[in-house]
Formats: sequence, structure tokens, C-alpha cells
Amino acid sequence: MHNMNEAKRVIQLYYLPQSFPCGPQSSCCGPVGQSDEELRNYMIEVETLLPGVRVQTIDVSKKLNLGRDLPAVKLLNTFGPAACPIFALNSEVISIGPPSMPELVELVKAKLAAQGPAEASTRISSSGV
Amino acid sequence: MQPATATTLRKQVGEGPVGVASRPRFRPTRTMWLYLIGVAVLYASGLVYAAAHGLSVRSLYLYGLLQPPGIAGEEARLVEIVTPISWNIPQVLCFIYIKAAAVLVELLQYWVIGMLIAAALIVFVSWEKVKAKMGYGGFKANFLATTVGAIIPICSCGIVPVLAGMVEVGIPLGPTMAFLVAAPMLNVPTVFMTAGVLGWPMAVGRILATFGIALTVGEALSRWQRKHRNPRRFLKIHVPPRLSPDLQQFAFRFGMLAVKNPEGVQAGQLGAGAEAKLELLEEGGLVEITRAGLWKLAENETAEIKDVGACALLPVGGTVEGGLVEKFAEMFRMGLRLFIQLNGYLLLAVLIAGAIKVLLPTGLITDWVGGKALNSMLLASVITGLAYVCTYVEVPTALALMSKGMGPGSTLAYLLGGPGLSLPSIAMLSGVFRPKVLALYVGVSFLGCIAAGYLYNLFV
Repeated sequence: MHNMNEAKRVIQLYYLPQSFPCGPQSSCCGPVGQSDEELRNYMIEVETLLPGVRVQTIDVSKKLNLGRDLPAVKLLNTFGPAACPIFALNSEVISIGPPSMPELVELVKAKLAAQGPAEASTRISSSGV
Repeated sequence: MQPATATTLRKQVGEGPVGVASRPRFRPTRTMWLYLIGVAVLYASGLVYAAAHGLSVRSLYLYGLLQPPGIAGEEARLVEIVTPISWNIPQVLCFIYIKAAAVLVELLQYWVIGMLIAAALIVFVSWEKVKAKMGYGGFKANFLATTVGAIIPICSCGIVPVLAGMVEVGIPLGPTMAFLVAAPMLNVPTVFMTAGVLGWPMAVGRILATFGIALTVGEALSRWQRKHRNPRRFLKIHVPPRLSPDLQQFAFRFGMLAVKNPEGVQAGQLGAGAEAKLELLEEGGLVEITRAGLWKLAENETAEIKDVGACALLPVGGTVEGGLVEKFAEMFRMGLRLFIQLNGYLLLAVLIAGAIKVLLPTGLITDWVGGKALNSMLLASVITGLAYVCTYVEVPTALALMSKGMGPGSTLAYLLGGPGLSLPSIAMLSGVFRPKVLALYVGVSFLGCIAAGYLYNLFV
């Protein structure tokens, strides 16, 4: 039961590591993707506003799991890097592109409430950024 | 933290700032410096050779010919020192070098003037405004695209990233193709080079023929795209378009619905005005409509996503901000930058021209592409279809071929087809276009070259 609820409380954050298509620090084509700082901020904000929720970061430039990540793969296929960051809860996409955090938090709260009460488990710190 | 501020949104859509201060600083590579030194040495060699052998410096500047002084009339454009072909390879290479130097002395003045004019256009004309006026396609947009292609100096070698960039900014396929036909075939430096080296009638013929071919290709594709909006029908690559924040938000909202409903979504589910926005997204290749009238995310199995920046040679953003002095300063900087960047092509051009002058027996050219017969144009177009003649190379090589007996119509066909139509460039473009589009491009260009050459012979 504990594991099941914990699984429900993991938000996938699909991101593309920031790159500069026209050379290091070039501004002509703009940086593509998310910087480490942006990612860290997303994680801190989500985990602060939603206690008990863990953010799992997934680098879309690496091999994705076609079972769990299929909706994100479809969106990336269509919209390209502009779709990042993508937030998903249990493989259900809840936000595409740079989010409005208050809206995102409300949406996640509603989804979690619909899934049933979560255990007051300890927060699992995220890693990997 | 404000994750969705304008700044972060700009970052996401890759919108770069404009203005002098924000332009990325240009640093020539070591190769560019080597080419520049090569050009300087070759230029000096031509002058020194002429002075040391008592040859006419006037002929060198006017015609790129190494000839004794005092020759006048028609002979002034034909007579040259003898450089026989033999098995003495070092001697033949030396002849090629010195003839290339002679061509460079003649060419460089037009090259510099052309670069400055091109730089002025880049600095004073807003590229983004030009793009905005292209609209969906049709004659006006195609004409505008052809004109832009004809004045901006984009080398045929850099055409594939440019194409990706044009698709990226949402320019329809008709104007895109018109631009792509016109850009390598014609630009300001080559017009001046053609006029200076081959005469104004040839330059005017080149301008008219390029517009004719580009407009025909553009119009055909505009009509085609009106029937099938999705660019994936025409392109092998798919570059996700840069959408306005508003449309981007709508697209994402649709995307979230679409992944939940793989069979498709009704436009009505997305509120009023959704149909028009979805049609716009369809033009961008992001969504498609099923036979049942439902909208879904575009299938992307065959199209390869490329996130390619097109700023290799394209001007970035709008015009330069600031006063007239700053604009002129930027114009000279841009001219110098173009000059340094394109020196490699200039060297290649003059060396090929030198080699043709020395190695190609006169009889071969005069027998096959001399005169005004239709088969001459056909053969000239076939020859250009096989050889790779980069933009800026075609004028000096045409001069060499003309001096060897190539007819005027065939020369025009060569000038048009050389940079725009060659096996390597067709191979490059086959990685971008689907076969039907490629066949249209090659077919119309090929026939256009022949027709232009034939008409030129009739009227000039």
C-alpha cells in the first residue's frame, strides 16, 4: 500500500538539457532546453508547495521508456524541444511548456485528491539534476 | 520564481534579441584567415607576373587576360599568352596558378562592390518585415521571396540550413522554393560580376530567367500546398515551427487532449475559434485531420525532427538599431565579414577558372556547346547538372568557357544551372524534399535553363 501511494506521488518532469545550437553562449538562435538552475527551481517549487510529492527528472535526449513515457514521446515528436518541460503524473500529461506554477500545483492537488488520500509519508528528496 | 515570464518564454521559443550590441561577435576561423592570405598572395602574383613580363595591366583589370600591351578591338578580349598543355605537370600547375591570378585581379573589384551592396541591404532592410509580407503564398509572396533571394548573398553550399530556417519561421513552401531557386542562381555580387565580366545583356538575361524559373516553381508549389496544407507531404525533415506564445499555448492545450484521445479530438472541444488555429497548426505540420473530421497530433514516423538554426549566413532579426553612422559602420563590418567568410569560394572559383583556361581544349567546347543551336543549351544544362559549380564560381568559369567558344545562350544556361542545379546540390536537397517536390524543382530548373538560353539567343 505504501509503495502504491508513493508511486502516485511521483511527478515526472521531462526536460531537455540546455544547449546552444549556434555555438557556446550564442544568442542568435537562443538557448534550447532547460538549464540546471531552471530545473532545480521547478523541483524545489513543486516539492515545497506539494509536500510528499517527489519530482522525477527525465532527460528526453536519452532513451525513454515507451510504456511510461509514451504520451511525452508523442508530444515531443510533434512539438519538438519547445514542449519541454513536460510534467506528468502517472503517465498522464498535466502540463506542457513553461508552466504557471500556481495552476500546476492546483492541477496536481486535484489529480491526487481524485486518486484518494495519500499516506503522510516522508518526502523523498529528488536527485539527478 | 516566475517560470512563465516573458523572458523564459522568449528563451523557450528561441527568439533572439536584435540590434548591434546583441549580434554575436564574428571571429574568423583559422581557415578563413588562410583563405584571405591566399587571395592576397594570388592577387599580388597576378600583378607581379604582368609587371615582370611586360604585360598589359589594363587588360588584366578589364578582362582578366594576360596579354601583351597595345592590342585593341575584339582581339582585346580574346588574345592571351600561350600556356600549352604538356606532361610537365609543375609547369601546367604554374600556368593554372597564374591564369587564376589574372581572373582574380579582374574579379575582385566586382566582388568587393557586390559585398558592400549586399551588406547595405542586410543592414538597412528588415528581414523580419520581408518575411511577414510573404503570407500564404501566391504570386506576390513568391515574387517577394524571389527578390529577397536574388539580393541576399546566400551561397548554394549553405542552402540546406537556410531551408530549415525558412520552414522554421513558417514561410510557406511556394515562397520558400522560389527563394531557394533564386538565392544560388542570383545575388547582388553575381549580378555585378556577370555585368562586369560578361556584359549587361547577360546580367539582365540572368535576372529575368531566374525570376521566371523561381516564380514558376513557387507558383506550382503554392497551388499544391493550398490543396495539402501539411508540409510533411513535401518535406522529409520536420522542423517544429516557432509559434507565438498564444498559439503555442493553444497547441499545448490541444496536445494534452490529443494524447488522452488518440482517435482524435473535435475542434469544438477547444472552444470558439479553435478550427482556424488548428488549420494554422496543420500548416505547421503539427496536427492533422482524420477522414472523420477529428484532429490529432501529426504522425511523425517518416519525418525526422531537426532543430537547426539558420543563422549561418542569414541576417538575424530586424534592421540595425541606431543612427545613420552606426548603420554605415555596421554595413562595412558586415561587408568585411561576408568578404572574409566567402574567400574560400572566391579562391575555388578562380582556380577552377584558371584550370579550365589551361586544360580544356578549345575544340571540345566549340564543337559541343558553341553556336546557338538548341542542343548546345541542352548540353550546357546537362554539364552543369553533373558538375558542382558553387555560387560565385560560375562567372569566371563562364568567362573561361566563353573565351573557349561557348555560345551566349549556353553560357546563360550555364550561369543559371551551374549554381542552382548540380548533382551534389540535388543530393543534398533530396535529404530535405520528398521526391515529387525534388522532381518539380529539378525539372522546372532544367527546362528553364534550356528555355532561357534559347530565348537569349533569339533576342540578343
